[in-house]
Amino acid sequence: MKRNRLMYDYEAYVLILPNVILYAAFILIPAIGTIGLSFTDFNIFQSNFVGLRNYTRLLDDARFLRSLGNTLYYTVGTIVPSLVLGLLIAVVLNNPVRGRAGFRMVIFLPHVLSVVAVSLAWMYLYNPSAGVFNQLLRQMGLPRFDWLRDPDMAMPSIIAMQIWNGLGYYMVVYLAGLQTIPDYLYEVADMDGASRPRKFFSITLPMLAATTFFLIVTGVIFSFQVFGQVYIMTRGGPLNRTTTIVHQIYYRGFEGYQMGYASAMAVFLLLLTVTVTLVNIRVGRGRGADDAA
Amino acid sequence: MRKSGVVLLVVVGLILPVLLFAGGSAEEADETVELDLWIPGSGEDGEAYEKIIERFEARVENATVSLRVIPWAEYFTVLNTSFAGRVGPDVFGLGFGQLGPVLADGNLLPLNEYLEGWDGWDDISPAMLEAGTSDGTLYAALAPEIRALAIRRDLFEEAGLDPDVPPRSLDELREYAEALTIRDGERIEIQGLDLKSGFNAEQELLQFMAHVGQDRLWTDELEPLFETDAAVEALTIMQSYFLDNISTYSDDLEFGDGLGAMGFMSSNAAPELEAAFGDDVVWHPMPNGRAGAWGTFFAVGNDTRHPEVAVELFKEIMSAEGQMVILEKQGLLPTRRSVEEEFLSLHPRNEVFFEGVQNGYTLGSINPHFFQVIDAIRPAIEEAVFGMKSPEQALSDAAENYRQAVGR
Repeated sequence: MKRNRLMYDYEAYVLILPNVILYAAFILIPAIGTIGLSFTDFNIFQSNFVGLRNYTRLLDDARFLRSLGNTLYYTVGTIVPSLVLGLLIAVVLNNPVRGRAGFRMVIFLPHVLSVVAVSLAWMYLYNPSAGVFNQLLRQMGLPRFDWLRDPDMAMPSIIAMQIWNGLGYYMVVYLAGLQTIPDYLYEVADMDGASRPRKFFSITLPMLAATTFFLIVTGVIFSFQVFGQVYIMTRGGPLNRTTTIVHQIYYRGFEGYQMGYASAMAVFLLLLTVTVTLVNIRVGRGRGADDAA
Repeated sequence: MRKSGVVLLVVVGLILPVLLFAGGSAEEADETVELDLWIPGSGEDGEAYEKIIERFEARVENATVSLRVIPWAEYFTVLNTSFAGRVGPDVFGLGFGQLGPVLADGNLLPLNEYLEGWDGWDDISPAMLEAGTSDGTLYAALAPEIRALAIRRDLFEEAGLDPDVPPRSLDELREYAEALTIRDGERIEIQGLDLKSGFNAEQELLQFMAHVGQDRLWTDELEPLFETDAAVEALTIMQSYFLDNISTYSDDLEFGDGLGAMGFMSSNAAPELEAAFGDDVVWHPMPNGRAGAWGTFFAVGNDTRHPEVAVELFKEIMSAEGQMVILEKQGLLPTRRSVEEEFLSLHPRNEVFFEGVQNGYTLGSINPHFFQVIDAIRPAIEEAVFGMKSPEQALSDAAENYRQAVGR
């Protein structure tokens, strides 16, 4: 029966053909091409097969290794606080508080803004002389900071901006998750005399396991791709403290035209993303995320 | 019937655009020479070239020019891709970092044989022609911007210094910078000398190097000149400005934001600075009287089908009239001595810029490994000014990294 359906339902294939062609032309074929290029020294004008040289070079490239560490730092630094804050805000705004819709909108709004606009705006906020943050610190008689220029402050500053920028997304997804939790669970808990914290840790949190898992997976994927903020705000500096894997791919590929080497970085990033996602899925299953879903 | 109708529609929808866009040109039989001129920059930059094209089309019969202005951020990618596809422009602009790789890949037309008797040979500053020359052959001409010492008159007077008497040596520069620095505790409010510490910091280093006797970063054989005594001395001086809290770490110059009393500023920034600070901005020559030059090169594509006509367009761009239009619209300085009177009459500070162009220097000869130079030297400068490495060690590592990267 299935076989027959595959044979005669050619209309469906034709209907999905445009999408398949676009997907193949702009994603699949370039992705396969990138894997091929990663074994060459392609620089737009010439291309020679170099075997695994680009991959072995990755291991010796201090700047790439630094970018890997920075990317992981950024990933953990943005996801963990975003999960905690997003959940707290969602829990608060899931209750019938006054002005709830307005608060939700205000918190979600930054998420729909362009990363370029957000980065430029925050550069003004972080400006060491005229920026709002240092002006406030100055008025309070506190020491001021060179937010984006201090090697120890630059990445935390980008992370803080990104948490603000992405918090609305975490809140909205958690709100959706909260609304799927049946009321009777809380009613039963009330009958048992459970306190608010107990209900939160014993009902809300476990029931949101699938939501949290989803946010972690998507958060990791998005964080591994971080580029715009870094490119605009710090260009990867100072002292390469904010350079990320995608920034290195751009730098090597489009400033140095070492396309083959940049392709090897891209393939590494792909493998890293797939690996981390698979680990996430395995851990998620182990913790019953599927059941909760 | 219905199914086949849908299928037919989809297939036609997919194939029709391909057929339409794959059609041959109907202009093949036209005798008019059509040139493509590509310029890096913004839309406003194109205004200068529209005027130049107007003049060119009036002078050269049956020639038309199609102008394309491409943002710097994507310019080199678009240009390289077009060269790889053999559909590159006939005449085009190039940045410093692009000239070497584009030449190494055989995309620049050697201009000497087309420029016999050209008045530019005698009129244009030799240093600016040298910047686009390799092995005695001219491949590109530079429309430069130069660095000069911009100072703030009001801050000089506040510090008890005479703004009309600029520093004449590196020692004086340092004394002035110390006197001009304004601090709030440990924080710098006004930098005595505004310097870059990361992005493009090699330009700052080169200014110091030129003051201690070396005005290039590599030899004609493309050997690095990072480890020389002059380079180490220059970076040591530059480092001291940061470690002694006279200059702040920054990728961008902040003189324009009012946060510097002196700066090695680009001539390109003059109108903006003067609009912001009026007469309080004063331009002086660099202490040694020489200026580092950057800017945009103009070249002719090696694959052009009409080299003679394309070179005529190149000559139009580099003519005295063309240079003055580019100055007016784009801020890039004229390199011809013959425009001196006209140029100086436009603004008193142009005297500084004119002398700067005539005595200017660039990073070095055309280098196909420009990216590798920058990739090695910028981190070294940053490591030194942050005090992570000694200047000697940082530059030695940079030279080693450069040699490794280019396989020397």
